[in-house]
Amino acid sequence: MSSLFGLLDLGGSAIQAQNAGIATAANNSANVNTEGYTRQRVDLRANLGSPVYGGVTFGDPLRVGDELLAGRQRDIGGSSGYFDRLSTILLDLEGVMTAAEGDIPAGLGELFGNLNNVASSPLDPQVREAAVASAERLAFAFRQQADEVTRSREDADERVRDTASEASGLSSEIAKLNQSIQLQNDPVLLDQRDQFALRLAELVGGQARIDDDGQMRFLLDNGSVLVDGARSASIEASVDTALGGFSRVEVVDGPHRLDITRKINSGELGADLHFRDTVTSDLVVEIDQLAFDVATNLNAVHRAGQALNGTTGQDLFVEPLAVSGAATSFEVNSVLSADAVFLASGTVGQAVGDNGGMLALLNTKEQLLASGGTRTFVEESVRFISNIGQDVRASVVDQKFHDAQRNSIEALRDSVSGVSLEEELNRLSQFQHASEANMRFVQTIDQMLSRMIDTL
Amino acid sequence: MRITERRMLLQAARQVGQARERVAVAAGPVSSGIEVDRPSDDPARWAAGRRARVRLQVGDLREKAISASNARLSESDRVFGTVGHVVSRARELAVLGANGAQNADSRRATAGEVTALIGEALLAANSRGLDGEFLLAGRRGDNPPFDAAGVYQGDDSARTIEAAEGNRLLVTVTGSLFTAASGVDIFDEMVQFRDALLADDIPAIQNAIGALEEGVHQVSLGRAQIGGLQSSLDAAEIARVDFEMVLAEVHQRAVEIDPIEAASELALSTQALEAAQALTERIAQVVKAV
Repeated sequence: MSSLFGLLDLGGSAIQAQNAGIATAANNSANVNTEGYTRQRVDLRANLGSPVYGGVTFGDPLRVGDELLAGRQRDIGGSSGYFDRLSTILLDLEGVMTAAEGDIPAGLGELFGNLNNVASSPLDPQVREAAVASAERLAFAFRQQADEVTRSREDADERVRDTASEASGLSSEIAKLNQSIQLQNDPVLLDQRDQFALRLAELVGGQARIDDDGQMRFLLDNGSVLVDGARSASIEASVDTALGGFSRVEVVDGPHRLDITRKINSGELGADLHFRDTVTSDLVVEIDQLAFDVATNLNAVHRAGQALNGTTGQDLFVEPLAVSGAATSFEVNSVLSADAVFLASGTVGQAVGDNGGMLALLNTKEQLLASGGTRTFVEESVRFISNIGQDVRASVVDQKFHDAQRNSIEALRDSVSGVSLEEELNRLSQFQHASEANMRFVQTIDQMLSRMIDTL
Repeated sequence: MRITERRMLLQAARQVGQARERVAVAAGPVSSGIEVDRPSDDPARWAAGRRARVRLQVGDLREKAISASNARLSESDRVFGTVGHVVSRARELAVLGANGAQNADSRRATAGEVTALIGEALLAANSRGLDGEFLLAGRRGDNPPFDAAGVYQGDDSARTIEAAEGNRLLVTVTGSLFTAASGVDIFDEMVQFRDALLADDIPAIQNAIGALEEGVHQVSLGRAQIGGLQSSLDAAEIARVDFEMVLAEVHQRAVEIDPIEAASELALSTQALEAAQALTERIAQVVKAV
């Protein structure tokens, strides 16, 4: 049989349990807008005991989470991060390539138009100067666009270093949280770890799994382990001359270093590396190739012509030594810049009023001299800018697709782990009433005890 | 599926954001008239528009070349007009000089006038264009085409320019039209005529009538040639303007909006935004009630 004191204990523990329920509901409501918060529920358990004397106990609050969904969220985080970043930087690049009025296609159009004017009036110094000035503007357009692309590459490289540093910080944090969670299974720590893992996945892709021991392991797509329980590796970016002075990315785990520069295909880091090592790298080559083709072909024709003062063999542009760097070093021959008389408007051996040299230069406008003899200069200059547009479109479509996927998974996760104020208010009400009932119970026992004591 | 209030609000905000973006995207072309502003709007159309713009740019500059050539031909025509007038007057003087009523003194006086006419014709034939180039010197445009004796020093190479895409036109005439290569050597004939007047050589004066007659005809033919070239240039300019309109249309089709389609899209996207906003308001009320 239970004693009245035993019943008092039962009532007291019941009040504590209901209050824990109130506290949990209040905590859930307080965190309704906390990003990454997983709702909790109080773990109430009936006490074993004699038929009359039992009661309730409560344990630590339980997280109402779904590890499968959390895992899927991290998985999509890598591709989401990749396309979010890629679409943004490609849009920036497109803006840079089309912002300036004096771009390469415009420069080519202006040059050819002015060469025709020289063909019409070869002895007119103003017309000749205008033609040389348009050659200068074309050279500037080549240099400017090449510089802009190089700057974009450098920016991407800087972001690679920043991302590597942030990812290392997150790996280390996750490892520390693993350690803390091993000692204390605190839901706040678990939420924090999930949030860090999600951000890490957005940065570098990869997968995180929670093993039976409750510890998180984070692996990159190439299999490198970033976090293993309380241990973490870092991602380091260091200047590599073999990469043209750009950063090499390595996973560093104690004395072991593994180059992953070409193995990261996901996350923001993957996007920046793809942009730096493929998109802009290819674009630089294309601009260089066009600059090389324009300079060498026009030079060959110009050299064969004859200037007003009878000189021959002058280049129109500074002859590039190689394709690489041809755009950044694109310049008009200083001899012509100084004096437009050297513009080879005539044919060798002919008198000064001959315009054969200009007509020969004009011929190059329609000739397939660019891109390995498959396109005209103008077609090629328009093509590679239009290709950036293609890349932007593709990446925006992918970004929207992954965004929708991410949103759908977030909604699923929210349906399991999100806080509903309506539910929490209901629970609050339930626990409040239960707590009040238990107080009444304790009061009743208290009154019974008082009467008993008074009777004695 | 369990749906939290926060998720409802987030979803609503997301839909409003998407609807707003759609309105912004639809409003841009309506206000600017440009649908394809960046390559990513439509890479193929952007490229077509950009190529058309470059061709327009070359065409614009071509107008300057055509206009300069036309101006030069007009100047050349003026020169031919002057020379034609001179030769015509010389022919009149030849007819007068061949008249038996004239004596040696009057012929010497006429010779003085012919000398002045030769000077006038030479001065005209050695005219420079607006760009300083000698008009009739062929390739040797930096030197006078005729020396003091009226001997042609230039060449007979006329100049061509690109008057349209893939189409080149002759745009100059040379002083060789005044030389024996084109019939008679006009200056030589006038000099011979003057010498005949001075020598009071009536048969030679009579011979000069025919030669100068030929010279007048030759100059007329030259002017006709200039007229032909000018007509070709005028036609080229008209074709250039027409082609420019075609290119402008190509450019327009490539980058500009279809006003009806754009207005419809703007109306639809505005409706969608209003609906999303109304929905968000309703959701906010529900959440507030909670």
